Amino acid sequence: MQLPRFDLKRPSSFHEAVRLLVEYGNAAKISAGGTDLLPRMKYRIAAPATVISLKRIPVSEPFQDSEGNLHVHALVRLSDAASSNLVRTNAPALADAALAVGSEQIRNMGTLGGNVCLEPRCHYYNQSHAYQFMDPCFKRGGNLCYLVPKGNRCWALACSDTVPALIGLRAAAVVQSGDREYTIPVEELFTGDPVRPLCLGETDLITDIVVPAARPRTAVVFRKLSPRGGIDFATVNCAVMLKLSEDREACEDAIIAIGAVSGKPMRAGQAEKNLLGRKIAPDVIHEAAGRTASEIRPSMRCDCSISYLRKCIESLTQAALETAYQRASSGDGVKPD
Amino acid sequence: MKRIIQMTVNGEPVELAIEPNRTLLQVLREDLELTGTKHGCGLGDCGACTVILDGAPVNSCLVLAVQANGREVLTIEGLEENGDLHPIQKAFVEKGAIQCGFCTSGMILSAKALLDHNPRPSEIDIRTAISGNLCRCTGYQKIVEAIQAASETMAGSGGDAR
Ligand SMILES: Cc1cc2nc3c(=O)[nH]c(=O)nc-3n(C[C@H](O)[C@H](O)[C@H](O)COP(=O)(O)OP(=O)(O)OC[C@H]3O[C@@H](n4cnc5c(N)ncnc54)[C@H](O)[C@@H]3O)c2cc1C
Ligand code: SF4
Ligand code: FES
Ligand code: FES
Repeated sequence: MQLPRFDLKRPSSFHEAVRLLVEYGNAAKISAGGTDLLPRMKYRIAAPATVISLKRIPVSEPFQDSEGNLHVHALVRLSDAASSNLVRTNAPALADAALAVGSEQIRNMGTLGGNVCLEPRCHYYNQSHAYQFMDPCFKRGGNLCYLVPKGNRCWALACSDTVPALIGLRAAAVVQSGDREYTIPVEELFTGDPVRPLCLGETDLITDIVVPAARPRTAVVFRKLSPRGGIDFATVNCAVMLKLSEDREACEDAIIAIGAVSGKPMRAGQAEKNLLGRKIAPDVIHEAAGRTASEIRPSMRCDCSISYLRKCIESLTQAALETAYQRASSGDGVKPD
Repeated sequence: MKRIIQMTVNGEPVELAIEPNRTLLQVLREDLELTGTKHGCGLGDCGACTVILDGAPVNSCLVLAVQANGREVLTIEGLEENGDLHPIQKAFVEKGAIQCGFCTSGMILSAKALLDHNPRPSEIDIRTAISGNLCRCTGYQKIVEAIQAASETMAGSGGDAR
């Protein structure tokens, strides 16, 4: 499959990249690892006149600041994020999520920033549109949806594996916007509208991801379910955070984040609230998983039914909560203050 | 506009003028006539196009050739030494891990990258390392056995230089 023609720009800093984005506007697209953009270009979903490649920008290794916060450069390859000792010890859920992406080859090219900004996917959209003479759908600038013909919006799915993990970790993204820099929680990056999925400005770029210092008696666990163990995007993925009380029995804080079932990653707010203050036991975990499955509303899709998805959400959440409780109560994966 | 790139392919320096929209896979196969690297899906799914770029296996169908500028590429053609097959290639032949052969180059390069970093992999390590390489013929079992056998030969001979 041939890539369409384009002009390639190779800035050596985020600053310069943002300047180029301002200069070229909508005619330009950013490529970090290119593993999401290039297939879309081959499919003729994207045909930018200019590709701004971030590959020349120097990538710093993950590091911890004096307060223990972990800084991971947006251009870190997923394979390096997964194998970094700092990431493994301070944010094992992020390392596990990075390792769950695609294949060894994809992880050697794909970056963390690119994974966070992964374009939402759907079976109609992610196929070749060369020699196709149907009207475009909402996501391709048209006025209809092939997946839900009676609907009036796009139902593409936000499938990133690292995003739920970053939400569980309460991570934030550092964004370069013109000459300015600002920080936004990863959870607030998403609009929920798959046509324009990110809250970022058109010319904003993510430069770093910051994971707050690990807290005592706390564990964050990532789990993914997909048809095959490798290559496939998640059918459902899930990250949970559990913080236990000082006696390590009751739940003091909880996050349950579910990805790949809707236009943005979802939180099971009711299930989380219901866990607070409760003594963690198998029936409580079971109840929380059940509440999560009934509270999360998966979008329509063509590869599995909503009731099957709910079962997947329930069993994945249950498994993640069990592991998180085990780790938080045993001190495994927990760093003292 | 064409750009001049210099890269090392199988130990040999090469210099080419190429358009930015050409992939490393296209340049290897069409300009350098190294057709051992296969073009399957062109989308990162099948792994037939796997080459080793600066020590790491990548899908060459998703790498822009201009981005290989200044870097080292190893393809299946670069594995034999003095006309002798690499131990992983030998093991694939001996264990019957090749049927149609379309996946073989990519599979062997993924295996090589694994054994370079982890000379004594477990079966799980092997299956994970080749999870980005699809094979429609063998059912994978013989491929896994071949990689196990190669790891034993290579560890036994004190490792392989290349
Ligand atoms: C075969 C295959 C399997 C895959 N499997 C998975 C999987 O299991 N799970 C998964 O999550 N993904 C998967 N992917 C998708 C993709 O490979 C990963 O999400 C990868 O991390 C994307 O990173 P990248 O750097 O290659 O992105 P790119 O293609 O470079 O960029 C992706 C998007 O993000 C934007 N972008 C990139 N960097 C930044 C930045 N710093 N700031 C702002 N915007 C930015 C780009 O403009 C682009 O729109 C798969 C892809 C393939 C081809
Ligand atoms: S869900 Fe509908 S509108 Fe959205 S990408 Fe798919 S077909 Fe297009
Ligand atoms: S041809 Fe590159 S992965 Fe299939
Ligand atoms: S031997 Fe035919 S695809 Fe693997």
